[in-house]
Amino acid sequence: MGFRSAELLPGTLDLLILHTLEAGPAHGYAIMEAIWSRSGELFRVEEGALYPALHRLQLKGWLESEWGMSEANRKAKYYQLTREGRKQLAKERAGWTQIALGMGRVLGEC
Amino acid sequence: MNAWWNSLLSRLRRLGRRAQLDQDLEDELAAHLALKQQALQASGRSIDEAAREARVALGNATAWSEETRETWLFPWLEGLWQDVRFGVRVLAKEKLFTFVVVLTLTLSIGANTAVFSITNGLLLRLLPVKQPEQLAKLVLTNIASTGRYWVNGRETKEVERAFVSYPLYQALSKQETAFSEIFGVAGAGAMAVDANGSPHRPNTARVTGSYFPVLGVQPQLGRLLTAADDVPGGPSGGWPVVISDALWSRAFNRSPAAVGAAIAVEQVPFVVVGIAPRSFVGTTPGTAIDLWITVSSMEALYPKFRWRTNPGIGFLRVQGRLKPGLSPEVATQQMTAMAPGLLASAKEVGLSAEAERQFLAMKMEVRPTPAGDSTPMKQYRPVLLILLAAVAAVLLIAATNLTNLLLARAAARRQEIATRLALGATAGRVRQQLLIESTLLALGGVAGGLVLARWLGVAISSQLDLDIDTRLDLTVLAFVIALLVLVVLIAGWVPAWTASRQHYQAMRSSTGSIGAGRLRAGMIVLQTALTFMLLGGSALMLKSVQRLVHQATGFDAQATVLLTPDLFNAGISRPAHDRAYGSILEQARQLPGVTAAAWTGMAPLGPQAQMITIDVPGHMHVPSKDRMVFLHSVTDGYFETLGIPLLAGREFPAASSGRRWMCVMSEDVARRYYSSPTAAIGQFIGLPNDKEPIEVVGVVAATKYTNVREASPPTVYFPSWMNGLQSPGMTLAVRHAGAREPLVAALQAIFRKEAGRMPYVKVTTVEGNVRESVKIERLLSSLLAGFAGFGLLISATGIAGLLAYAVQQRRREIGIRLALGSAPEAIRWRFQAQALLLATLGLLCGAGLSYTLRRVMDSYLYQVGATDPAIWSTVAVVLLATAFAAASIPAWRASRINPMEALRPE
Repeated sequence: MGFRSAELLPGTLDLLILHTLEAGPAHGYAIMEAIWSRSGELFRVEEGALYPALHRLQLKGWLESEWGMSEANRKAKYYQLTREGRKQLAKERAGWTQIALGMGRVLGEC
Repeated sequence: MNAWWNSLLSRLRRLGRRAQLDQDLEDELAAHLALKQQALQASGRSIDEAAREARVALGNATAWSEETRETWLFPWLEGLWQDVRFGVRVLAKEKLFTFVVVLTLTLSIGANTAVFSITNGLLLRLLPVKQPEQLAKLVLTNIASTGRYWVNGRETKEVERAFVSYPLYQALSKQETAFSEIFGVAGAGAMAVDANGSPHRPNTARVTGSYFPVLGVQPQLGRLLTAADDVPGGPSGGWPVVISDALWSRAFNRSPAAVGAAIAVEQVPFVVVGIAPRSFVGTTPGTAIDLWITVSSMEALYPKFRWRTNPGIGFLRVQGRLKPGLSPEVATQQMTAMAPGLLASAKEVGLSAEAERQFLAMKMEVRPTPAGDSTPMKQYRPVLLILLAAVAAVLLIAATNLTNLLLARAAARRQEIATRLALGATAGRVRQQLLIESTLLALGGVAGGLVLARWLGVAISSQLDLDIDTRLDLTVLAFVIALLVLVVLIAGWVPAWTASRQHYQAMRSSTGSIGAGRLRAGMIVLQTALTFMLLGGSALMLKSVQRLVHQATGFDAQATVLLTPDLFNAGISRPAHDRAYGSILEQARQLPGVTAAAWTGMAPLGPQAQMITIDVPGHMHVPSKDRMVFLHSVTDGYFETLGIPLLAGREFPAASSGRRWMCVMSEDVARRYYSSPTAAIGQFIGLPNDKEPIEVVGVVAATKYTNVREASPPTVYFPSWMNGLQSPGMTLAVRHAGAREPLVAALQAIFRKEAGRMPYVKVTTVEGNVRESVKIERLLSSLLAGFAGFGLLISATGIAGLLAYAVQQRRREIGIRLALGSAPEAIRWRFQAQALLLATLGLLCGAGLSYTLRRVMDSYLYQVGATDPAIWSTVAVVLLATAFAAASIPAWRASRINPMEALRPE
């Protein structure tokens, strides 16, 4: 079970990626795994959603990438947040908190 | 702006690196696959299973990696497309605005493109030959100062000559020089050609055998001329000729049978050996060549011309390819070092010691000629530079006008833009939208401009008599694109920037940005300055043209027509000319309405000139070049026919009544050497190399010779029967009463009867020749006047627009003033004073700029100084009056504001 990326709210995937990268640079597979495990195996981001998103964020100037060596000594592309990206993360996080709060209130859960 | 710019840049970069990005994405996926597979294996799957599972998880990788690629470009393009469509809708709605802007841009871009395409066709375009960048010409500098030279009617000290004698050419081609190969071209002139029985007068180049091989041109049919064709006596198959694509169409209807066809050039039989490629029309931009013959064929064309052996006859322009890696500077050094030796091997015999020293002291200079080398290039370069500056001013005026209109529009669209910003459009997106609108307008201007340029380019080049290709090529295209970018940058950027920046206060206040107002005022000052310069320049040129055209030429020849028949090519042999001329003159004088007629060797004020040094007893100490006079060879009746007053003595007698040696001189020659015109009568002068004394029988008033700018050219007239002065190609001058057309037709009938068939006849008049000699000035005056009118109109509308806006902004203030008792005249005056202030500022800037540029037009001005106070003050008054008038409509509106309405809250 769990949410596939198509079922996520629009914009949520961006926030998830940005948030994951706040901890430091990571390659696509690691990002996918991190979201999977940190959501308590609730959110599964497919490759078909992850990579277009990564490139889109890069184009917006929020991420930058470079080729590096993975743990297994394999060539992989590492993504990391830019300054713009950090700002965007803060903004989106605040926005998300508002939405979550609002949704919670409407649905009467708090 | 930065983010928008960066993202644009990174998209463009990505566009260029598409292949690398694809590879990158592929690598990234491969890495992902490997990592996932590893993880699956670690959790206990077999290798095969892990690989399969990892692959399945990837899903339809092709589809989504395509999607990834699209994110690089697609949304942006979509946004762009949306903005373009929106822009078109906005512009289509504001029809008047769009029409005015596109029209002004059309005019300015059209004028710029036209002038540039002429500059390109004449000065810039590389010759369509093999490696044109290697081509260079040889120029002799520091030439002996034994002659006198006139350029456009002004005497100049000529210090360089492009013409080389044949013996010197041969020395150059035999010796090891800075050139790896050279060729020579002897002047390109119109020659009579009879092909298929139909006459043509194509421009003909006489070239050395190395011409085509060095240029590396390939024929489209047959073969081109080679060294084997350029030999004394000609090759065994007859004198060969190569014809142009254009002549092939005109004379042979593009029939392949043209190769091998016999044609007559100036009555000499030639054989067509080949057809030049369509793109190649010679190496002389401005004069398109139709016929190429060898230099050697001049033996048959001009049997008496000693060109092959006489080192004193310079007639070849020498060009060639520099040795690989040699710069023109180094080549010049090498040639200068070699010059004395080369010159010594090709020097004239019988020169005086001083003349020989001067001859050997000549230097040789090498100049690159990748675009060719011709007289028109030299003659028209300064004109084109003036015109380029003028059209640049026109473009600046149009672009700043667009800036002003866009600023005004941005002010009017504040609400719309603020709404869009509030609805979440980024400032970048709004700027992009506004920039797209100005780009669309500029594109409209470019489209119209290209059409206009096509027409204007043809009009200008035909006015200047230039055979050039003004069609669009890559250089012109690059120029047009540069214009487009310039217009968008000047006109679009500032308004877009201010519009997207003012959103903070936009919703709250209704007053415009003060900065934009100042900017608009600055633009108007700039327009006024440029208009002032254009107006002044055109007024100076108009006055010069007027002075030139109405300059006394010394002729009273309104009733005289000049006809130059080509009797030789109509079938009259050289020895028979004398008799034919006499017979024609007799018949012409019998025609009804003819009051006088005469033959002259050269049409007065025509393009040709002939000079000779005269020996005046008692004045032999004067250096020979100061004893040079212009020469006319005429029959009896000439002075009466041209209306030149006889001051003393008599005219030449008719040819039949004794052929003594005699001359008539102009007043200034007579006064120079004798005390008065009367004193000159009965005196004798001599000609060099001729011992026969020549009696002065008459003195006539001064006339202009080739150009109305000439002060008063010292002229001596000889009777045409004198030895060596009579030649084919004389001009018949006929003074008549009544209509001209029937007379010309009757004269042509006489020519036809005399020659057996219709000769080619050039018909001109003295006034026609005067107009022809001031064609550059006329072109400059009419174009500058047009540009100045354009500038004036734009400045006036600019001022009116700015003030109308100011009146709108200050409605309340004006209302209060009026309510407090201000007189309407006072309100009116406030605005008109503002207009005058702007115009005055513009005037001052323009005057400063004009003063620094005052030398630019000097050589085209006549009897008027570049700083002529009357002209410039008139121009200033015109400009101020225009500004005042332009201001009066908004000022009048301001004074009519109803205080009650103005003060009512919105």
